[in-house]
Amino acid sequence: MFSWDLLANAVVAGMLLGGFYAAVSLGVSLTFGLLDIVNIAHPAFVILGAYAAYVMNSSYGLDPILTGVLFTPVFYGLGAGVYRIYYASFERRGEESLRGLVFFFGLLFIIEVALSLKYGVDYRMVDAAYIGRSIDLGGVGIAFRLLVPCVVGLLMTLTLHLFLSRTFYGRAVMGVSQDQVALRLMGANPVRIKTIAFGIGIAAASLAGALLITISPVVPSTDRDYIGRVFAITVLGGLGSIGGTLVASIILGVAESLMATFFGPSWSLAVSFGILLLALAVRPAGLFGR
Amino acid sequence: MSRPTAVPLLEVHAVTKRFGGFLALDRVSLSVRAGERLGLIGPNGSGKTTLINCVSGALQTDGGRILFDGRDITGLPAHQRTRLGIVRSFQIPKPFTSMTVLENLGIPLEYAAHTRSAGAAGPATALDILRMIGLDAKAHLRPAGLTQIEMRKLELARAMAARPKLLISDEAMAGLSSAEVDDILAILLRLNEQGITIIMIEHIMRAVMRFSERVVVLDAGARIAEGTPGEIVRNPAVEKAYLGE
Amino acid sequence: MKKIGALLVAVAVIGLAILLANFRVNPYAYFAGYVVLQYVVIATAWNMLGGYAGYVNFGTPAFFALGAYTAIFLIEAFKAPLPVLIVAGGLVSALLGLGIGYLTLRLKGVFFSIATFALSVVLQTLIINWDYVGGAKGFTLIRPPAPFFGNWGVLLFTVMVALAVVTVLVARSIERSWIGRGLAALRDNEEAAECMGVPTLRLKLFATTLSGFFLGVAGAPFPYYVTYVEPSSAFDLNYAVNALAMPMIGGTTTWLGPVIGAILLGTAQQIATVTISSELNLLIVGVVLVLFVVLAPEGLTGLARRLRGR
Repeated sequence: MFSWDLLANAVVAGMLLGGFYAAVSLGVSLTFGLLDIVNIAHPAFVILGAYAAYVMNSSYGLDPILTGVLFTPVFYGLGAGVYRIYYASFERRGEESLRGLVFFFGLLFIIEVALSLKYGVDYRMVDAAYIGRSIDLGGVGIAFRLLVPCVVGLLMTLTLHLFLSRTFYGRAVMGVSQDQVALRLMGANPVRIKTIAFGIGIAAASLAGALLITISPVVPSTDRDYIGRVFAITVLGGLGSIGGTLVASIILGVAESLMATFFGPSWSLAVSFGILLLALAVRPAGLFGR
Repeated sequence: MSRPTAVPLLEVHAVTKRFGGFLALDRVSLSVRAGERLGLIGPNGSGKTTLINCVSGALQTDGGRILFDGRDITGLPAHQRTRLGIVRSFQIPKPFTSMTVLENLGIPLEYAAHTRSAGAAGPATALDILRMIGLDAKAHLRPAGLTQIEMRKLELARAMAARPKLLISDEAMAGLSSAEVDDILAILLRLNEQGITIIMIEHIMRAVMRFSERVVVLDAGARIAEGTPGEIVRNPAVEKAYLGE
Repeated sequence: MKKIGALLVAVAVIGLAILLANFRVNPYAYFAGYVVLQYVVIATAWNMLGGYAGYVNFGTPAFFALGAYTAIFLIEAFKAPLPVLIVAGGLVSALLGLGIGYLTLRLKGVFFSIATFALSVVLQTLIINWDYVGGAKGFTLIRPPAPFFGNWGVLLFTVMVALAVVTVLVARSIERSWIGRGLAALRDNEEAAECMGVPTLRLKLFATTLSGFFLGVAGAPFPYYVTYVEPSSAFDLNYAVNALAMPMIGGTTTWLGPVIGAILLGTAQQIATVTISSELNLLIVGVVLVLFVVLAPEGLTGLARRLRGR
């Protein structure tokens, strides 16, 4: 059953979703793209952020996005700590690949199970002024609960881009993957730079989690839906390219939205997997890859 | 001891390699006679290692052909080129860390040199190589227990175990002391006497000049000079490439 | 000489199991034993790729469930007997391994791992939507009378003993062969291995296919064991974590590691499920996994080796 209205709505919803997906993927684009660390646990940190927003919202009535922002320092510290353990256990010994992956998978698992122990497997949601409202632009409905996260996602992307290109630490992060010797000569300690970068990546997860629970209710296992999406986006967008991440996020968002509208929602997860495989097969360097 | 044939052992025809927008090799051509000792030099970033990677098969070229022993190997994967006799050692040693020194040699012996069973022929030959190179005392140690120069020697020993016709030594002497450099040089010369063609990439000029019969100079992905060591040293283009203007 | 010794031990173990069957020990022991042995197969199979070659498969549930659902399909369509189910389940999962390997193994190992994780999620979605094998509602199997021992619990236990023995034997012989040496080389340094004549892509595909085969074999008897299969139980995340944790704890470089890990962790979990909640159980497994990976990456067999001074 096809109609232009349906199509337009699906595309717009997909684009808004894409902005949100960018927020979720930024952290991985940073850590995988620039630091070469495969943090498969990133979606679990996003869920952690979502639950933080839920707790603050249900106990204190705090706006979820406000919670997300407030918790960024906490998550930054968490990320920095996790990186230190990762570095001491694996990177320093040069055994990153197998064990590092397993380490992060274990973290993902621990976070997910701990959350389900504490909060059970019921869907949790938040209440905010903009959830449930929407505006109508020429036949296309734009839900605020999609619009606000999208805008925040775009802001996050812009902020990260500016940070990487304009600040000393940002440029150091860009450089640390390419030339550690030069970095040391510049007076920057690669380990410290990577700690900062990883911390930022996880801090982004905090905010992304708040956006997630704004869009739809969550359960602890929601993180698994995002592993495929996040890595599909990162690969498609090109490792290390923030702009590429945004473009890829929007592409994925639109593709999923179209799939869900015309074929049913249960297939939308297959979209990210399909895109991931396609990207790997055709152009592993991504659209904007180095 | 050189072969009486006119066909060179290795022919590189106008090989080009790009990394994204960056042109690492620009239609580089090269040929090496069997039994020759060729030096490959050039400033950092000139494309020496990239060229070696293309010859050994670690990288696919974006243009040009490579012939070995008269056969076009341009599309062959690296492991098959090794079996044909092209063996390279790595600038930064890449030993098999979970195996002993002896077992490290066992891999190329089994896979490249076609001595499938690890029976009597295997370990004995590996020990011979280790003896020749001076590592036999450490045969049952893991690479983690080796010194810097011993790692370099292991790298060479492993390459030797693959029974090369053409051995490409990529900066095997970087960071070594003068005596250690002579040590490695002596090993390479001995190998050449046994008939192995050798391409040496090196920054240590005295080693290259002493070792090579002929030297090829790369700069910014192109071949800028070729000749005997004496000719190269006097070549103004080479001087400019290294020292700038 | 060594090969015959191992075969004799294997036959003895199977024989012992059959003998034990005739003594009708507490039936719960057979159910628990089945699960532990199933994990021996799973952990050993996972390790063929993860430990020997160094490529981490996060999608164990996909391969296991595919074995189970292949069995369900064949039961529905042809009322196929158990041996056929086992072989077919193994073959289909082997194909999955080959397919995923072919698509991703030319790239960095990380992409293979990510793909396997996404694979689980997608395959589960596919199965949920496939009503022939029960879909989301699940599949119920009505078992005919057990052909041997008159008791399915005992029969399945014995079958799993045999499967575990076969899997371990295969792993052991691979490990000691030229293939195993090549895999170890590519695990230690893939670039160097390729340059030393090791056909790395072919070996990786071999390992993925073989690993997939035995994971499917582990899953094929599952419908007979539980009699009611729904996607969430076949694709249980437990399998993913345990497949990693058991080899990590036991040690990944040798066939003995996954066996020790499976027996230790599997038995502990069987005891734990009656005392603590399954979620707490999972949490503990996760924590143990991370601790081992960080503190004792070579596992128990590695620690033992170090104590012996090798």
